[in-house]
Amino acid sequence: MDVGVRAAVPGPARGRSTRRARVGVVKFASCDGCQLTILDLEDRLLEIAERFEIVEFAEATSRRSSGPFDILLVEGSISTADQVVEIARLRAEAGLLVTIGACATVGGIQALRTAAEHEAFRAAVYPVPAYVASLATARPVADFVQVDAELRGCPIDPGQLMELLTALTTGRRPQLPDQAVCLECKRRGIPCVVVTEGLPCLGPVTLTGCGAICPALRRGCYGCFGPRESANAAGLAQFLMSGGPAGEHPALEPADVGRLFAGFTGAAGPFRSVTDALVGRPPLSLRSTLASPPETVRDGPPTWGPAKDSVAEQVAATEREERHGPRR
Amino acid sequence: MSSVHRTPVDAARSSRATPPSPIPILDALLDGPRDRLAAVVARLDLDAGVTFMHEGETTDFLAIVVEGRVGLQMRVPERGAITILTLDPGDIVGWSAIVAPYRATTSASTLEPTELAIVEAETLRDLLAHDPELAAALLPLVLDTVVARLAATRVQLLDLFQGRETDPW
Amino acid sequence: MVTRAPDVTLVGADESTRRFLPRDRFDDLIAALATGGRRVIGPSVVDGAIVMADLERAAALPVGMTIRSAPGRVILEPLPDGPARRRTFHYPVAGDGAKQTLFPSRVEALSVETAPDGAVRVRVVTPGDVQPIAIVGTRACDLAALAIHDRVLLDGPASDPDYAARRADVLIVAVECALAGSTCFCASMGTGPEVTSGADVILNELDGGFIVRAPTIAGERVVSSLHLDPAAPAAVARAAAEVAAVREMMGTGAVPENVRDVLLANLGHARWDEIAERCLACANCTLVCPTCFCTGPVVESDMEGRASTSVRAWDSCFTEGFAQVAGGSFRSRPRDRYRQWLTHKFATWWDQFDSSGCVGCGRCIAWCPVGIDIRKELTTIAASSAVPPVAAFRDRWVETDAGPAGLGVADLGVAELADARVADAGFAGVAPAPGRLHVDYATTNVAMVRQETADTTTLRLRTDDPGLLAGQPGQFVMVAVPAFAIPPISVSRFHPDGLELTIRAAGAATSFLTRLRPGATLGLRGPLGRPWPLHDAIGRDVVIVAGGIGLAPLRPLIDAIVRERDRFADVRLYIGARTPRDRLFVDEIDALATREDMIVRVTVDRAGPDWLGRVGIVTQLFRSVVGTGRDATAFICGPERMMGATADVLGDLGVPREHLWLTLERHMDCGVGLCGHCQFGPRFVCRDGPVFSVAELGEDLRIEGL
Repeated sequence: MDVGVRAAVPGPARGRSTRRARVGVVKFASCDGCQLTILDLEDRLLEIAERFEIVEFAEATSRRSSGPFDILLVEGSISTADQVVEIARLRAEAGLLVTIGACATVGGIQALRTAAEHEAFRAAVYPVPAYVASLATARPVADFVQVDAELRGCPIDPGQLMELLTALTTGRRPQLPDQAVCLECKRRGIPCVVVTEGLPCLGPVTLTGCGAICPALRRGCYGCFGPRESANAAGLAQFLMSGGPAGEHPALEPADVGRLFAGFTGAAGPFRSVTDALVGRPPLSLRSTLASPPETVRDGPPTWGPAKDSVAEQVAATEREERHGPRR
Repeated sequence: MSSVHRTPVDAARSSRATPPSPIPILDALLDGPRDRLAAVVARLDLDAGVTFMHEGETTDFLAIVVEGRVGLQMRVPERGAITILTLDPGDIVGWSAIVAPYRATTSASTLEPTELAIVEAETLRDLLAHDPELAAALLPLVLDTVVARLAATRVQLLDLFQGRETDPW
Repeated sequence: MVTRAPDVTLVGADESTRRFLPRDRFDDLIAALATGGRRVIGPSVVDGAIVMADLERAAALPVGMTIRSAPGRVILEPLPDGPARRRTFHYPVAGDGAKQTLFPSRVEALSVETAPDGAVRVRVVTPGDVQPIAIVGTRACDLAALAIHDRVLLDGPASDPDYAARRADVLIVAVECALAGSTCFCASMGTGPEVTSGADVILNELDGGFIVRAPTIAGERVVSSLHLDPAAPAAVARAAAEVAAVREMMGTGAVPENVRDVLLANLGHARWDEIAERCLACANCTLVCPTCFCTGPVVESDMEGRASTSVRAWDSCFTEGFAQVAGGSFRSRPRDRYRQWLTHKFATWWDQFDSSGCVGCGRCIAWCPVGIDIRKELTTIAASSAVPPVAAFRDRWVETDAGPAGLGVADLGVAELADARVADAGFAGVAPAPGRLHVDYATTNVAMVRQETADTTTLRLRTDDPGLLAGQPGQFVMVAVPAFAIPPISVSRFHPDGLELTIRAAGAATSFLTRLRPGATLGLRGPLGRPWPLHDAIGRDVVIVAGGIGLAPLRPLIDAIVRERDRFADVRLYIGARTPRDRLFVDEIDALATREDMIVRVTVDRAGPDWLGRVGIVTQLFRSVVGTGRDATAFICGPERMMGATADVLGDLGVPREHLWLTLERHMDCGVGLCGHCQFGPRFVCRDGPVFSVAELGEDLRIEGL
């Protein structure tokens, strides 16, 4: 899942070729927001077009072209059987496959259904569910094909996209940090919202790259870039429930902490383990979610596991369960 | 401290020349066991390119390389005989002569004219079975060889010199 | 080079010179500070915290506000009703000190461009016109931190040009604390709360105004322009009593007394694992720490790749990339990263800079998002065991021809170099080279390119830079080309008119370098690092063991030995390579093998049927060689695992540990001990090494994640 950049990226490196690199932008299950981020690069688009020939870009042009692509930017998660076939075809036609955004890299918000009752969801939303051919899961592209690089975020950061493209034209390794959002806050001089205001914030366990947008606006990070390396999500969850060593932080209910991690990148391993341990899975029932006001769900007890278990223990229990089946 | 000199040096001779016995490894044994072992040691001079142990076949003798160089080979159908290790003077070859089922795990052949000090397999097994003192002296030396090969194999598995495409620059 | 203004202490700055600044005249002080275009910076309330910001009027100060701090909390509150209600500096410590201003989180450090004539030019960027600065409200802990930063960034073998420029003209208006937070422990670290040095003006705040002292000429100039009345003795006494109360409140036992020895003796303590369950490795502690100085480069380039800027950005030992080299990260576990932070701060800092790295400001406790309290962790570790004193790093460090304080030759003229060489027992190539390490790059030309193996290339470079030409075997250079990060590369041969670099394509930058053609240019800085101590082998047997690309840094050493062969006894060269095709310098090594005065043995890990040479690992080459023992000096270079095994075998054969030399690879971004990345225990591998003896390293190589 955490692919990062696997290797020195091949591509139109200096001195190799004067031909513009053929770039495709394709999408699967997603909102197109990441593609819009590309269009938002307005003042750099000419510079990009000088070096890259954009042969496929659903959001920007109705022109359709086929591969091969030197670089293929893939948005969206894989949610239908057709998409499984399509991504395999595209992989074969792409020199360098880069996934962009939370959907393509970890599954996105729709991957929450992976933890729920898919049939019930379908029946509740669509009048004739049989017409909707979707898989029971929404999964990241890297679960199906090899991914060479990934840009995280919901949506991706235009600066990181430029860095990727610049690195590709110059032949260097794209500098995509492996660090926590906290480093960005501190470098920007943003006072920590956890420390000054006691807000819950996923910044310490979340990959930076966004420029710490949310803390800059006095909001806690909700993890849209997904877990960073060595993300100690269990440690953060334990802290959020504890009220802090000095009793100066609000002590959150386990279920609330679990849901905090169940956002746009909630399907990513370290985050999902916390949600699974604190909210439970699969008993997060569709019926109760839709029929009851959110408060009811919020106040509901953790569905299994004694509340006094440390999160680390509960995470371990979940992982055990995944390997050996539920404990009975 | 050795004196500063500029005479020609030959490691094989100068550093291993051991006047009492020309067979390097036997030096480590006490007089009694060494003499009893020396009584059954034979010398074998081989030209380069002679295969004297065959992978999968019964090992005829345990040998100590006195001079020259020996290659241990394994046969890989697509690649022919691959040398997996070379032995220099002082190294033991043919430890399978004393470990059941006494079958060679590699082939061994000379890479240059080579002198071996050998003990015939059955003679050696018989000696070890009836001479506990000799066994206690010799077996650790053989085990040392096996351990060194095992350790070396592990290091080779690590493939330390392999290039890795992950440097940070 | 710009250096900071001398800290001139005014004689007679005693009781009689204390004056009183009424509260309503603080604007006058600001105005006096701003005279001559000086930028004034002071505390200000921003987003629920007190941080340093530009200060134009006293009203912008945190008047009537205070901070209540606890592990993981910094709570801004109004001062309670009472006579102190209007106070301005009545909070323990601001969110930041002088660090943000003088050592900003991101500065442009280098510009690398391809000039119109095609040559690569590297320019050290310094802030062009740094305004003189006055910092108002600095506390004793932050002054101690500033002194530490001066020592680290200015007084070492190399200076940080950006810091030097910003530090050149700084006026400090300090405030003695009248309030301590629960996270404060400066009295335990001996840095406060009294302000004893480093300030130009010292304030003590009382309800109605400020007692003012001016211990330096620059400070006195400012204060005397205000024409203040002398302070009343009662007010002076009151101020002193408040500071004394702060000292009392904090106590002095927050940190175990022998904390350095405690930590170094407990690198395997179970507490590290326990902390790692709570620690998020988010790096906040290191970035709020006023003495942390580690930085990493961020390359910003145009899409052409003709020009780039290397930005020096705050980095942290809590990130995985911090200790990354080609094979992986040396500290992949957060446990090791936390241990690195705490042991560096409280233990190895002593070895490196002869002081503690902690000033007791408590920011790392208050700004830790999960409230980990280093005082508690240190006390817990100290409580568990009796601690033997651990020998200082310097005591284990053998002074070789070029000591830790002077490995480079940058500031030496050519004539001095020649003298230095003559002075060193006439041994060319191992001259002592006192002087400071420079940070400038020379442009060098690629004269010749030789493909050594499929992934390794030797560049023959031409230069007339006297510093580069004076390099010694084992030293390395930093290599700059536009748009790429700047890798350290060992010199693989010295020539009278240049040098050779043998580079393996292991990443983007090194791949680019291996593709250069004759006529290309690149920026070179160096030579850097401690060379092979060849003098340690004079008159002794020499054993040289090389693995893979490790032969490259040994090649200049072999050159030197061959040149003066009669100064050494037996010389043995053992070389390991992956396959026959991966052997380096094959013709040269074959030629050496024909010499009668050297033994040369080559082995490969794996080979095809056409290879008639040796197969096996390099240690097997001398497994049965005896007689090299006590009288031998060994030089080893290769992957760390291979060097460790080699040192073990040679040690078993009797080679003394102090004659076993090897060269470590660590992540290096600066090469001169400023970026902090290459730390290995108490060592900066870039300037204390990369060459170390096994005796110097002790057991450290066996400690995982050090």
